[in-house]
Amino acid sequence: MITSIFTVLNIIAVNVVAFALALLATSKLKYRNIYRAGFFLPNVIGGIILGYIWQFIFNQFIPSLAQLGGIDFLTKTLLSDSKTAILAMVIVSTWQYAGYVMMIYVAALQNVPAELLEAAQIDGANAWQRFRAITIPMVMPAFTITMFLTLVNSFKQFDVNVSLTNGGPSTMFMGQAIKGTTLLAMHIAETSSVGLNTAQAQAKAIVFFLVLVTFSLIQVVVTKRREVEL
Amino acid sequence: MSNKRAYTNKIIAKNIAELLTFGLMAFFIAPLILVLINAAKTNNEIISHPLALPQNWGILINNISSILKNVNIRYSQALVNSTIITFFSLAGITIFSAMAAWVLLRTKTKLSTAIFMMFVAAMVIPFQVVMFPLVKWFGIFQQVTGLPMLRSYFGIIVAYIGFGSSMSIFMFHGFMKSIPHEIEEAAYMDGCGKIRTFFYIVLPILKPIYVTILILNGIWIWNDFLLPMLVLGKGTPVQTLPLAVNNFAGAFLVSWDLMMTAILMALIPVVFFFLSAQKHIIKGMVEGSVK
Repeated sequence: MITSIFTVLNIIAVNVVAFALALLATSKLKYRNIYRAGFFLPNVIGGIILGYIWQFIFNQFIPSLAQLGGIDFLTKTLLSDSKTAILAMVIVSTWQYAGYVMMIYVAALQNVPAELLEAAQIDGANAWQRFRAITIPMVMPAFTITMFLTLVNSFKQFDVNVSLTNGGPSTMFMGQAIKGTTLLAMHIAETSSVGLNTAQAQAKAIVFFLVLVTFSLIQVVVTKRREVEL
Repeated sequence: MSNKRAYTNKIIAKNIAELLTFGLMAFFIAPLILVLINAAKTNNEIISHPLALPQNWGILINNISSILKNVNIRYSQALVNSTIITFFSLAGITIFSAMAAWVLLRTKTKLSTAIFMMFVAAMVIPFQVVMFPLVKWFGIFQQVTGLPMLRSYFGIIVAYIGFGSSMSIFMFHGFMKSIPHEIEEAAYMDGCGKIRTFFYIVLPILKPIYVTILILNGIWIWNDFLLPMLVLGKGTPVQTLPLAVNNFAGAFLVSWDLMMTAILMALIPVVFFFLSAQKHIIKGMVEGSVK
């Protein structure tokens, strides 16, 4: 199922990017408040508008730039193939959510007690050991939250789906058009608006809800187990 | 000597980190800059020089005025609509949820706990599950009572108050637990009625959480697409900004210059709002999510 692939990729991408950004944004930089605001900015813009911005970038900007620079393989747009279109959607979603998730990590990183790190340093732990043995376990609770949020958000992704790819590109298979990137939320809306079958759409929505609850419960239980109490 | 070298190394490392972060941030806001510079170009210019700075910023004014005149987007109308809907929904959500949370917290009966739990449970249900019944019931309600629900300000504001209140009640409820009951009792002793106690004593104390809830709901309502699409419908007289941009894209997908201008004009209110209140917004949104 295309939604699961998207969700898994998206969770990984968002959390990795956000955590890296959070590490940078909590280090002692001169303009870190400006950086934080900059990273956060895409999050306050609506998904519809973000999708169109990136549609421009993928469809128009990168191809014409590649043509000018003579880079052949980039002249074809990412959105024309369903495999790369999913990738494009992951990029846009990461761009949208990373700043938000980053702020949650920032709050968690700031709560890591400095005396623990100092004690470890005196005991001779190097930077990597301190990071792995103290910082990571201490931000585990934040990890539960961010995983949950990104899971739910990726599952419910609709706006970017509509405006970036509109479910396409479609490939013909046995005389039927199969859309490559229609995520579940969009599929439900389409069943009702295009297929004019609201009853079926509602049934799909209920299934969607149950799947979402199951996945998020599993996720919360699994990540909770890894949290440490001080 | 080696101490000094370690020190300079540290400074270099710090500058590299600074540069790296700056580069990343530039990468993050680059798409928005691209929108700005490409909104001030003709379509041919965009295709031939996508990265170049515009030669003539006057084209931006031209593009803006053609967007303002365009019948597919009706920008100024959509901006007004979005503002009206967001404003009244926020007013409704915050006042009603604060009242409801206060009553639910101070009345200690099984019924009030049950109602509160119902609101909490409602937060978990995704919108997709309730959207079709909602539209159906709105239609029936409209037929029976004659109140305009679909394709009207009233309907969508009611819908937003309904969808927004569960989380707001939950957050107000959590915050109110920390307010000592004695303050209200003192007001009661001095002869304050219930309504006056709420508006003069409780509401001012709620100010910090009030701002958080305003921001959380405000950004959601302003950017929302699915609910307006279902309740208002595409291409009807009442359109919000995201709907208007979507309509416009459907009509003019190839003309990137006008599309960029439309996006830019849809971006301006949000970006301006964000820059003017970014501390509150970031704090509010992160706090809201963690609870």
